[in-house]
Amino acid sequence: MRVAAGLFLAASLFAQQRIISTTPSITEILFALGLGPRVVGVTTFCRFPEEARRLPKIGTFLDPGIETILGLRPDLVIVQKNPVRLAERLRAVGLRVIEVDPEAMEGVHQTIAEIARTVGIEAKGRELSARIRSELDQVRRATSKLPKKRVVFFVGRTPGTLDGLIAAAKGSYLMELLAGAGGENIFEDSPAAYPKVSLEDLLARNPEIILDMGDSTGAGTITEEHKREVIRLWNRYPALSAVRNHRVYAVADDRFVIPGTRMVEAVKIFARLLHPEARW
Amino acid sequence: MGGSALTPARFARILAVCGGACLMVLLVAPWIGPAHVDPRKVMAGIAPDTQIFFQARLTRVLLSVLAGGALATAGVIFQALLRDSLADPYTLGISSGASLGAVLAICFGWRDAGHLPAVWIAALMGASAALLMVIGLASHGRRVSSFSLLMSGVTVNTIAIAVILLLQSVASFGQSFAINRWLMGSIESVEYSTIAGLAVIVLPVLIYAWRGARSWNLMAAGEEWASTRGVAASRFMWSGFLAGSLITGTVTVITGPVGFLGLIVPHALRLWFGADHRILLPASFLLGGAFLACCDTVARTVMSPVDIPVGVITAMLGGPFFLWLLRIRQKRYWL
Repeated sequence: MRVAAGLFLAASLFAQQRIISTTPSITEILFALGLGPRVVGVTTFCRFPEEARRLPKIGTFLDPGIETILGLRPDLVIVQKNPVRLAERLRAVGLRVIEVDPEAMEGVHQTIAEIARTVGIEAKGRELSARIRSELDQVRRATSKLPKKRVVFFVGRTPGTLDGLIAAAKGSYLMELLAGAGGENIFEDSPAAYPKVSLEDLLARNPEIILDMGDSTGAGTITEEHKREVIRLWNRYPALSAVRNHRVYAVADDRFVIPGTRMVEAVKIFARLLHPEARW
Repeated sequence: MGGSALTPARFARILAVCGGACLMVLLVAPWIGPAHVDPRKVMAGIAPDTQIFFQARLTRVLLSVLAGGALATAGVIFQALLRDSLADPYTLGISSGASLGAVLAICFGWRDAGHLPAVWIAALMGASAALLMVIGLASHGRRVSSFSLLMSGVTVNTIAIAVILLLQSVASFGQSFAINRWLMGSIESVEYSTIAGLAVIVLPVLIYAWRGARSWNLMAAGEEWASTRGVAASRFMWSGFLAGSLITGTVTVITGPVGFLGLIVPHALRLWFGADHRILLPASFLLGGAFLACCDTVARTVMSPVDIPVGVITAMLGGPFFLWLLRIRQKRYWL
């Protein structure tokens, strides 16, 4: 009996040869765990790593093609917890599904552990998580000696204007990253993770650094000309010390919005912007 | 009809009350907000109080008075024009056209067009395109009826919304934030030149609409009825439709669609002052503006630092108030 159970377990572990990812976060984690060669389907938004771009597309996170997924004959579909009941719908058509939740930094570590456990590479998962934690610690140690920088990060606004400013606030992944880089969120008291904030509140709270992703076109990169445009927009408000001291940065990077194993890189980018003098 | 007959004395009294209310809001609202502002520092020009007051807050109050007044007046015009008590400035697709333009600009990453934000230009073009489509669909030769206007307007509206949903479903993370924000509508701190530009377009149209108030009274009763009383119904419908669309379009370009106001303010004032357009039009402008400025004050203050979409407040404050008014005045209510 025990032998049979062992054989069944072994068989089910080896069975996971065809994996489908349903979010960019999951794709990134799968490749970091060395499972890239087993991934047979990703979403249209999965742009990292380079190999993922060439894989068959199953649609998007909120609107995946169930028939496309079935056609790829997966033996494991990894789904991010979502409001469209994707896991239930996939299970209903007979697929093996696990549900993960890489929303925040700790969620990424849990996702790494869950995927590693499901495919039987626990040790590798632990190793990956430990490496991420130790690199983050290095940055944190280097910046914690310096005074915290009061910072705001805008994830959205009406393009070409400073209207409809949406800030990342308490509880958002971005704010976790910025905290890891020695930043202090000026909208710490917000009850919403991504509040729309008013210009007057921004003037009153007067951040030292403004990071603006508001005009991003979704391509994940930003041109020098665009950077100058954004800075020109903000120059209308010289009362802001970030504007006066030239600490307004136009940014756009997938690593800021896709929680995953590249969080280390994201934190390092932020640490260089917030504390250019820090060394790690 | 609600209210008593409109004597010159009553007209002056109502106008004075509405004007006083509007003025009071203009004087008080700029001092209320999430950031503390010291009047002495504002007058002395000390940062950041001066900037908060003049750049961030006064501009919002002025914009909300102008936009609220314009939308409430447009609501009066469309309700009379279509003889539909559920009509509002957005029924005929002008604002959805503007929104579609804005969403296109956001999705394609257009940022600047000359000195103005590309979103505004695109919204203006969208509103004009919707307007031309409605005109093309609704007209039979040079004639037009409220039925054909309503049908073509509602259809254009539906098509524009469908395209917006399509674009939204393929937009990126940052873009969908921007699209959502636009569609919720909001009052922002704009530059004074923007407010001046808006006033230059909106105020003459309002005065033009007011001068036709007697004809509006007849139109509200029916096109045939108005025709027998000497109103050139078709021409009057065109001019009313264009006037209402022009002010709705221009306001929507800057604020996005701010819901509810254009529907409820005219009805509330009809219950209050009666359905005579000679008083309804100016009262709607003054109190619509004051109402939106109050709502925006609540929107920027109650959940600070979260700036709530002003349309949420207009509905949450205005809705119960209107129900109460309806309840106590129901017997006299007749559009």
